Amino acid sequence: MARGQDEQGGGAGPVRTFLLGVLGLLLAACASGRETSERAATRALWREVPVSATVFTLPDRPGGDAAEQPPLRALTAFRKRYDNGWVHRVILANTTGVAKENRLLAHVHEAPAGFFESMGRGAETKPVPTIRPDSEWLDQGRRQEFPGMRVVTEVGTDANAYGPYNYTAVTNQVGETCLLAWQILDEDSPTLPRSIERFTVLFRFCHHTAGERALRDLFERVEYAFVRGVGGFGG
Amino acid sequence: MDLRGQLSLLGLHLCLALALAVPAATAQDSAADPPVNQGVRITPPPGESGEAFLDTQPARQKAITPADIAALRYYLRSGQREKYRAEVARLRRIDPTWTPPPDLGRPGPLVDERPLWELFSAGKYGELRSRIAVLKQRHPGWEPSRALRRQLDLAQERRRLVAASDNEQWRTVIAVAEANPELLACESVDMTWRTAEAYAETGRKNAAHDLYADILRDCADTDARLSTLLKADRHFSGSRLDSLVALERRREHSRREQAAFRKVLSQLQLSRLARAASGRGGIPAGELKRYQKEAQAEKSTAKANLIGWYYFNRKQHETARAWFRRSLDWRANAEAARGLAESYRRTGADDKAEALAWDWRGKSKALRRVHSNVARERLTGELGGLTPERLARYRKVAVEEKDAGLAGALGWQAYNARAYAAAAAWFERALSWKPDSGAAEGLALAYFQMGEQKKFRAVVDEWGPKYAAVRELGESVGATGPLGKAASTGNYGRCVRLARELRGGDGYDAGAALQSGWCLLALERPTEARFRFREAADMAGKGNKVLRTDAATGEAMALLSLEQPERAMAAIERAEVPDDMRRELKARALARQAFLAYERERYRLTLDLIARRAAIAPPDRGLSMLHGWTHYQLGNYFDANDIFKRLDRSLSTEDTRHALDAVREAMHGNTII
Repeated sequence: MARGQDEQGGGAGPVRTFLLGVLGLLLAACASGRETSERAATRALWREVPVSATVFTLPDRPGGDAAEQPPLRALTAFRKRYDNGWVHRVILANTTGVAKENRLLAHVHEAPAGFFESMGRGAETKPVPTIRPDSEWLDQGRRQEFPGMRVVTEVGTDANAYGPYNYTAVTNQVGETCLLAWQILDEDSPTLPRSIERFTVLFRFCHHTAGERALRDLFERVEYAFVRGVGGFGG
Repeated sequence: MDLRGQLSLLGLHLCLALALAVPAATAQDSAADPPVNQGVRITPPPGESGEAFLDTQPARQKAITPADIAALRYYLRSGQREKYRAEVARLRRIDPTWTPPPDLGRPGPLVDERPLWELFSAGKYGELRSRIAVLKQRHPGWEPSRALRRQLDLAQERRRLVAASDNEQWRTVIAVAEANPELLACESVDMTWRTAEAYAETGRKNAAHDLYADILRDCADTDARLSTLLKADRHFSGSRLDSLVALERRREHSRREQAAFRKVLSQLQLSRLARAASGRGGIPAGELKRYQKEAQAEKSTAKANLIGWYYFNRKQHETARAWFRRSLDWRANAEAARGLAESYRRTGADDKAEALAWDWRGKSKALRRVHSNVARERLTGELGGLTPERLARYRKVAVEEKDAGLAGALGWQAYNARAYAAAAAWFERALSWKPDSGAAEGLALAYFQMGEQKKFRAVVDEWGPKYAAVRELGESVGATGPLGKAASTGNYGRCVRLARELRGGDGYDAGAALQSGWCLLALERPTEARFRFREAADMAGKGNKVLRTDAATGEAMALLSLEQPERAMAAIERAEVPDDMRRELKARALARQAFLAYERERYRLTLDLIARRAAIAPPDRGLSMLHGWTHYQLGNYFDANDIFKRLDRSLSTEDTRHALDAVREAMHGNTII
């Protein structure tokens, strides 16, 4: 709404233009303030939502060699509001005895809606967490997510329909394999809509029989719904 | 007879003489002490095989010997009529007056049965049967006498009847008696009593009455007849008992018998009163009055006590108390003390009952029980007045008397006071003295509360097969099978893997689902855990309250892990969880809600949630910090300062110091303004 007002500025006389501009700025400021208050009221709460209300669309059935690929079944999903976006979390079925939940996680950093909002960004008190992968982050993540498991792929790189992604794979004594894949899409990515400034996906999945390749295939078949206003975008 | 025949006969004589000329028995064997060699085996006459084995002439025989008779019996039994006749002729030549014995054709008497009868008289039936078997093998064709066989069979049937009667298998008793009427004889009157009892117990009162009447009519033994009246008294009353008494009255009695009969009649009267006193059957008012007069006149404590119980069982406790008191005044007796104590209990005078039972505890087991019952009710809170002195006394009594019930009550008292180690010790004692479901369940719960998973499992494994409550507890707290074992060793991954393998099979029940839920929760997989807890509750059905409660608790904890404190609160409210668990879960939910409210800048709500939590749980340092910061955010700097100061005094940390700095800065700034 605030950006909409911004975009309707041209085509009138200077005074009218000025008055409309002032009115527009006031409305934008009011709207922004109201939105901030609403966000404050709902943020920090994980809301359980249908999977369809998240950014993710899971593959209906395994592709490729079906015998190799385990199904990707969602158990439930959650959304959490932050001042500058959302975090979506889809909990996936886990057939292993490995600790922690299988999940898909999206950090959605929304682009500022307009001038005033972008001016006010510095005052954000609860921004969407920003993941900046490095070796320390990876080591810590592996220790937390896969304690005691053996690394089979330190860091690999591949690509899905949205661009390149990285991954690491581990296994344990009973032959269960886990994959941690991460993908960061930002302003350089051609697939990211203007409304989203940064989009980070984490895929953590363990399976009792499937190997690393099958798990990566699963991840590559997950779709992201980049449509503003659906799945929680835009408030 | 030709020469060959004569030689054969001669050979037979010699052979038999050699074979049978064994000392003492000659042709008889000693059943009690069988010879090592089988000396009585009858060897066929050699002549039969055509062997000329002897050509010497024997000395002339002067008398008929048992060997001759044995040979004769052999010919007769083996159907060698010619040889039998020849032998009879020969023996008559030795003794012209001799005639063959009339029982020559019957088996025996090769075996002396006297030792067998001795075994029978000694009741050594097993030994007797094995001895008979040995003899039958040794003497083909020999059978014990018909009398011995019958007596042996009867003895066995008698044993069967007694065993069936002892085990209250009344139909077997009747079947055995009806198949062996010889058992019901005056000589074995006990068999008749048992059979009559079996008839009475199976509702065939007429048949029972007839048997008692038979004894009274036919048996000469007065003691047996009088005992029969007392036996009949257990099953009959009124006119039917009177008719049996009449049978005895008709008999002539000696002076001694008359005295014994009078005593029995008196016992029958008391028995009638006792029956009425115990609530079985009534008694005419006139008769009761007569007993009361007699009791007063005779100062009979026995009658006074019966009258006391008569009123006690009709809930006339004041009258009962008066009779027991009277009885006790006449003579100190434990029965009256027990009646008085029980009457006190029924009229709410538990202190008096306890004091009386305590005074009499050394003289009556029943009064020890009264004391124990009062103590147990005090310990479980059903009665008030549990003072430290009483508690100490109960502990002493429980140990001294190895009172399992009291130990169990002490266990629950300690458990409710959250002294779980003490509770476990009492439950262990109770189980070692007299196992019961309550003590086993208490022990398992105490270990569970102490976090002693292995000990908890051990209790469930030991007592679960015997007590359903313990089994259900084991299922509710966790599967006792491989899942439970994996969990108890901390191998939650294995537990989850096993659950995956079990799911859909017979081995996957509500307990397994529940255990799987706890394992998933331990693996920080609360979403899946929540599904398993719900599944467990659905599978358990309404009957298994313990499991459902545990599943609801698990679901609430999973929701808390998922940062869904409001839904967790709702789950806690829905579930019938015990109060202490409800309080603990609520406290955790409220704390989580408070943190979330703070993050959402809902500071008034945060204070409200912290206050609500403080009402049900002790303070928590993290929450106290939050409390301070909430006041800070609301501008209540003095309140914030007080809280941070208190926390800093108890343990100064970087956080408390930083908080105090922030408050000071804010207060200083305000002062300037």
